[in-house]
Amino acid sequence: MFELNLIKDKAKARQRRRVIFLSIVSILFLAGLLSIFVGSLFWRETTELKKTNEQIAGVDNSLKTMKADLDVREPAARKRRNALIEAWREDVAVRQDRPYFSPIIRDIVSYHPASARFWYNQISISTNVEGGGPRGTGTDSELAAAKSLMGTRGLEASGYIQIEGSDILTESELRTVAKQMDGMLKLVGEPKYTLDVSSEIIPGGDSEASRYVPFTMRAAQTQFTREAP
Amino acid sequence: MAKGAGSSGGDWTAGIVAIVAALLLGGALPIGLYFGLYMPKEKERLDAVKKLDQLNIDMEMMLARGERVRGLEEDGSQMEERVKEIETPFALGDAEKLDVPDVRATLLRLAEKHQLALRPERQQQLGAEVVFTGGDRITFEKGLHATKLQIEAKARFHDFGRFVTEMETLEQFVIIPESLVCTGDANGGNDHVFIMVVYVVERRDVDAIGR
Repeated sequence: MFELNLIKDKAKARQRRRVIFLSIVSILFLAGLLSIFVGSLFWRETTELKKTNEQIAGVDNSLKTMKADLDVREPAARKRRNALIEAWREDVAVRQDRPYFSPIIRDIVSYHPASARFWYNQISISTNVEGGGPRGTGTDSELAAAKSLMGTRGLEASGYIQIEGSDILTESELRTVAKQMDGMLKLVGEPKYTLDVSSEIIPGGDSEASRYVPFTMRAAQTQFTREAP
Repeated sequence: MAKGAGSSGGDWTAGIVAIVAALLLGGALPIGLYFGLYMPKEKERLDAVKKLDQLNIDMEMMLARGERVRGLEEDGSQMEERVKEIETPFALGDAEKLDVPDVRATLLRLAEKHQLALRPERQQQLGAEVVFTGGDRITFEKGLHATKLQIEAKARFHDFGRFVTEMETLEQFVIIPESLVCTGDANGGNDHVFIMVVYVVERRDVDAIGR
């Protein structure tokens, strides 16, 4: 009886050990499976991270290359475009606003007082130094020359006018003539005239009939329109 | 019997302890791996993805900037063409000799056509011409240059007037008059002496503008 019980106990013990062993093995197996699953997840993350890092490196490299290229090209392109625009504007201004002398010369020929003859012995057209400013020194002087060239002009003419009858009438006609000399050029302000009565020449001795009086006409400074002659 | 039952209970206790220990150890391994390895790696990957997204945004901005730069360069090319077109009537100057030979030759032909003669005091001078270089070259604010030419002639007023009109309306050159002095003949003749200073606008080196 005792031996039988002993045998039974041994069998039970073996069974217990087997259950315990199998449980532990199962637990460890499941733990192993889980660990492998987690490991596979880790591996997937690692490979994806590697790919992402490679992409980052590629994009970063391209970005750096493009940035270095654009950092050079952009200011250069902007500077060139702006300089070309400024150059074009200057070209337009020079072509449109440049002064012409032919209208003045034509006006000098065209307009005469109706009742008097006159002769010019000196006509002078030059840059208006007072208006444009004298050519200075230093860096500004280079530009002052161009400004003066594109600036206003003054006209001065002197000669003799044959006066018949009234001084006042002739002087008024002279004023009309100068005002008519306003073709291409816009006269700024009132022109000035001087009749040098003391130097007048009386051909026949009859002071009221006919005499030649020297005159000087200073047309005021001029500005230019944007129309070609 | 009692000893056998006690032994059986002890075996179970030890077994359960072993099972619990196995559970704890077996559970700790994947959990430890999950939190210790996987989670930091996942965080690292997400950070990398975020960085990649940011870089892609930066790349799009950079591509847009590249387009803008291409636009600027295209604008520059168009302006270059426009500058070349508007400067067609500007002369090719010789900066070293302060001369514009083509313009001078054209003006000499014009002077001959309109019967402009040399001034009396220059008629005996060797190589004297009605149109000659003035020895000056001026610079405009934005880089344009103009070379000085001087015209000294004896002519009738109408002839000189026609010469000036034709000179100022030449299609192939832009000539800006600076000053003119006309002195009448003291003897009452028709020929006057004209001294005129003009500046000839020169063509730019368009390729060098803004570079």
